[in-house]
Amino acid sequence: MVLSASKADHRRNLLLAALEPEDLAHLEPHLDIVILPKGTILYEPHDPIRYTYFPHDAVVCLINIMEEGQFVEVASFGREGLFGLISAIVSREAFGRYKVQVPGTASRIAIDRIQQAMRTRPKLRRLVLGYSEALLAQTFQTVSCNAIHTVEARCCNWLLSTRDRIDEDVLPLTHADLAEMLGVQRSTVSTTLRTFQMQGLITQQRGGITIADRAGLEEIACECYGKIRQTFTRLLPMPSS
Amino acid sequence: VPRFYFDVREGASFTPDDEGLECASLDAAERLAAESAAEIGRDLLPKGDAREVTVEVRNEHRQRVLTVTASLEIHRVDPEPLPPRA
Repeated sequence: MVLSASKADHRRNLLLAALEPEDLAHLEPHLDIVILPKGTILYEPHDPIRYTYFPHDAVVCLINIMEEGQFVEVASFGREGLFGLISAIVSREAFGRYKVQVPGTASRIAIDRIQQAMRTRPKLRRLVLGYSEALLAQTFQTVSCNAIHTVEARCCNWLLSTRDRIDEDVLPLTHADLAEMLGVQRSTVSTTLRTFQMQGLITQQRGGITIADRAGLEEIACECYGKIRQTFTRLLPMPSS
Repeated sequence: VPRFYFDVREGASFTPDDEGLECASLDAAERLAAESAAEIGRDLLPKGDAREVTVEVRNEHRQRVLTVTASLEIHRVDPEPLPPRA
């Protein structure tokens, strides 16, 4: 579903918000706002990429599907970023499955349009390159984290980063969602979340997790959460909150 | 497709599964239970918080059909005295 939009709506994405006014004005006639319901699959592996998305409050995961059918999240995208551009810059093919994990809206533009604009608008190009470096750093950090750190710490990272992205303490995430993102069994997630609940860090409702003690969760999270956050702050304009 | 429930017991803590999960067969359920016991064990056992993690699998009538236990045993051994040097 495509909605009519104003510049203010597009600025809910932090990259679009950071654009020079004339660069945003240049893109604006080509930007649509789309609603992304939970569970929507935007691309399957090897699908041709037609649009670049700039999420507002939605969170979209890139999921890698293995030959035996197991899957794991390898990157995630929220209002700090974009997807459907950098990892498809030459092939214009989706690496994996792009799935909406947290519902919301996004601004979207045809990939031809944004690639064309990047050729003529150096500040837009500089911003996309800054985001590319931050995304690559996030990926390097996540590879290390997945190899070394506990499910407990990684689960904490996910709760905190989702909270940062949607700016709400109530996260519309199920145990099955977290299991998919962490690449573990659902009962492993249930056990981990129950421990957090008993420590007073979260409360749980049907279809949702509420953060009750953010500082407590930050203590259990590994260094990776803070490091990724710092990388984005260093390379990209971020809100002061 | 039958539904199975995966409850987890570690030490004094018990996490019941109210939702369950559809699995093609008991073999498939056993595999998932084994993976989960190993994953939870990987987090908890080296920390010494628990010495055993058990996943109890129930069928759709909520009857227990199998349990999987992952455990860690540590033995410290006093070394034999070295023979005197020649």
